[in-house]
Amino acid sequence: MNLERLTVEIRPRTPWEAIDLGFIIARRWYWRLWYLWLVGAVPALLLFLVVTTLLPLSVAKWCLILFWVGKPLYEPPLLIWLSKALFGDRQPYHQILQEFKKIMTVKRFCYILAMRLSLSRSFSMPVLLLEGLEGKKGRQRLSILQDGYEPAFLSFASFFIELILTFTIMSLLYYLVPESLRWIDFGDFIFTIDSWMILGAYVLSCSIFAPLYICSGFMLYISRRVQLEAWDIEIGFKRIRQRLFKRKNGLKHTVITLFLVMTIFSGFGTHSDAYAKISDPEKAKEIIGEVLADRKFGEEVTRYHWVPKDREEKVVDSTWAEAWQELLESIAQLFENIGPIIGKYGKIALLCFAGIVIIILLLKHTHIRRWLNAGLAAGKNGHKPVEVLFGMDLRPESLPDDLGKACLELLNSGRKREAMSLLYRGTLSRLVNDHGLDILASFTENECCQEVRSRRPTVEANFFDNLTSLWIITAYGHRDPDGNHCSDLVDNWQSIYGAKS
Amino acid sequence: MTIDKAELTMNIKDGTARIRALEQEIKKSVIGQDRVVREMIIGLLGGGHILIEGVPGLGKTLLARTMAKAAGSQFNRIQFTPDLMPSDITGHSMFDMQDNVFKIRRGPIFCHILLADEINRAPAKTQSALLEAMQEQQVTIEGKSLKLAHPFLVMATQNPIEQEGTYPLPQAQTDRFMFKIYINYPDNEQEIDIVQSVTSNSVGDGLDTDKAASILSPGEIIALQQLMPTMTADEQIVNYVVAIVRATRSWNGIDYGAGPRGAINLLRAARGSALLSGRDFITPDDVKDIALPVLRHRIKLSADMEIEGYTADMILTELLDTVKAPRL
Repeated sequence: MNLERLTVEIRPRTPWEAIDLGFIIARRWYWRLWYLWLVGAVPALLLFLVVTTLLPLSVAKWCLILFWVGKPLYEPPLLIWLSKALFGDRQPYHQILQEFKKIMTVKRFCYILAMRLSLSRSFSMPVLLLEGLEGKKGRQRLSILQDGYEPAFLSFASFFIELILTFTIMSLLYYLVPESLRWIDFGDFIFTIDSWMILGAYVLSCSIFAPLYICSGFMLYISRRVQLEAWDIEIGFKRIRQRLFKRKNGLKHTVITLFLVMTIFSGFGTHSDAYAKISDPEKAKEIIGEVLADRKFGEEVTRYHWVPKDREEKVVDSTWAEAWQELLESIAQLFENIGPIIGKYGKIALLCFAGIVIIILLLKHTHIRRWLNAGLAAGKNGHKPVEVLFGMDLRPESLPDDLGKACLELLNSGRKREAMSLLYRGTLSRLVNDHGLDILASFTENECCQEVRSRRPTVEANFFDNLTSLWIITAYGHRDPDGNHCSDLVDNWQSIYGAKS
Repeated sequence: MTIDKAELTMNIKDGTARIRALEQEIKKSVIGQDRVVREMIIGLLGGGHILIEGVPGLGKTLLARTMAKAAGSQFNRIQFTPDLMPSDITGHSMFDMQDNVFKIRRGPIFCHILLADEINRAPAKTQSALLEAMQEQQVTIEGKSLKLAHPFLVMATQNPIEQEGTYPLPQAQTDRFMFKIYINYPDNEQEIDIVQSVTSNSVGDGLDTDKAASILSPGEIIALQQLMPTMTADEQIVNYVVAIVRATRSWNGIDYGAGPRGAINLLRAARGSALLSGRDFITPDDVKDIALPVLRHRIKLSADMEIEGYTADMILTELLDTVKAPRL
């Protein structure tokens, strides 16, 4: 790791500044990072689509769930490229992918997948992939890195930004439809929207935000390492040395450098030499403990000094500008203060939110089971049969167990119209529930016949034609149907549908 | 007038046979316009008037002539021009020098089937004279009211192209027509039949209506028209008709929907359609089948719909797909 080749200015940064830097880097290399994300995400999405066709319920819904679960898997190529590019080495895509394949073992694959549930994914992924620390070592390393750093709020914000982006894309699509052609109002569009559209919008919003999320997390990680490992001081000394060697009056500057170093480290310079020689970890721990316990460690000293009166005052245009500046400074201060709080309590808030969702789901348990059963019954094509059509209840449970027998009883008691009504309803119920026919509420009798003829065998279509003709005469012609004809139709019904009942 | 159910069934069967014979007779001369012929017959049965839109040369005059001949009715044709006066349609009084009295000369409107060719080429005043006569079924000349012949059917034509120098019919006037029918180009095979049929049996541009024989008489047409109100129209069917018409008033993309006259004509047309199908009762299919020609000229699309190229038929088809059909 050659710190001199770093392409960003290294200095200690607050978490907010680090995220800000991450956003700037993401904007600078946005399209490269976006393509790299697609390289990981698109094959995974296609694989999920293939896999989910084998599952019951909606393909799009399952695909959406799997895509959400697999999100950490699309991010390593971005991280690898970014870690190289930060040190001035912009590798081509194929080399990144080769490196990704090299470091991706089954164990790491599992670790990365498990990061789906971690709120500090973008922060902890470099430890796993770039430092190569797994298991206990990895956890120890993270505990050191995360001490005082709460990257959870980044994941928290990312979740909501992706959600907002998804709804924004869907809303945009809705508002792009000319007002006069909108077949649905906005509320219905958002809440009864097609799963494929949600999937598309979600994938797009993830792709938009992924480079920003990864860069921000990575810069948080880098910022923490700068803080712990004093990269800025190292770079500073290296620069001084280079400058001095370039100039030929080296002696004078060496003396000054030594003087500076001695001044900076005068408080603990003698100790540092001694500590440097200690190689026993246990002893080192004791000494670290002593240093931390020392009153002088972390001590803050406030010094006051006189400032000449004729010092140049800051020119402020007006009281309004002054007030505005104060407001901005106070807002910045507020964010500075609440940042750690959000980081600390964000995780708790998220867990509370998840708990509330689980409670609501449990309360809706019965409803969900019914929904799942209906979905499974509908089969792979996602067809949801209608329960009421033309004012008739088409649910199978609303019909008699032996429909043929019930019709014959009605015929024998002279209630031919009711018998025909029941037979027509029963047939529609079978066509809609068992054979998945899409009969719309606006369909007339002939349109129903055409739909049946296009989707069902000729025998069944002929039966339905005959039944419809008789039904029309009974219903609209106000005539009693011929008893024998009715009996024949009931027999036909038994032979076509009876065996299945 | 009460008609026994069995007698009505007989009448319906008889009437259906006669109408189908009329249809076949017209089709002998008018090739490739089956739907238009059907709609024309329904218009004749419903006692309504018909506005036909189509480019020149599709057989509008032939259709009117053949229909009049097959129906045994008197036919007249008026070519509407910018200088046509109301009296050129209705007639006028003139002084008879020999008898020293004013005599009324009846105009071409006194017939059973009148073809008003290119109605939008005449000024509004002349158009109104015809449309008032259509509505009131009578003409007043010099203070004397003269009843028009019965049955009386006006077939007015419009040309969808060359709109310069025309006087488009206002919505209130088009509403008086029962149907607005589009005549489209025939398909390839039908056009070959037309060309062969016309060129092999006639010389010049004369219209050949000889193939059609007179099947009905005006009296029989009136009897068929009187059969229509006796047909069974269930309450649900009437509700369906009204639901469709009311939907046109609240539909996106329609500025003005159809009025109650639209619903009345839709039900009348559905009766005609049922009669042509040999039934004495109406089904939702009859209503839906005939809804487009009845409603397309009664709605006004919003400006943005028209700019985007939507037609009344497109919007009405969409509308019909959303109105719930009844089941008893």
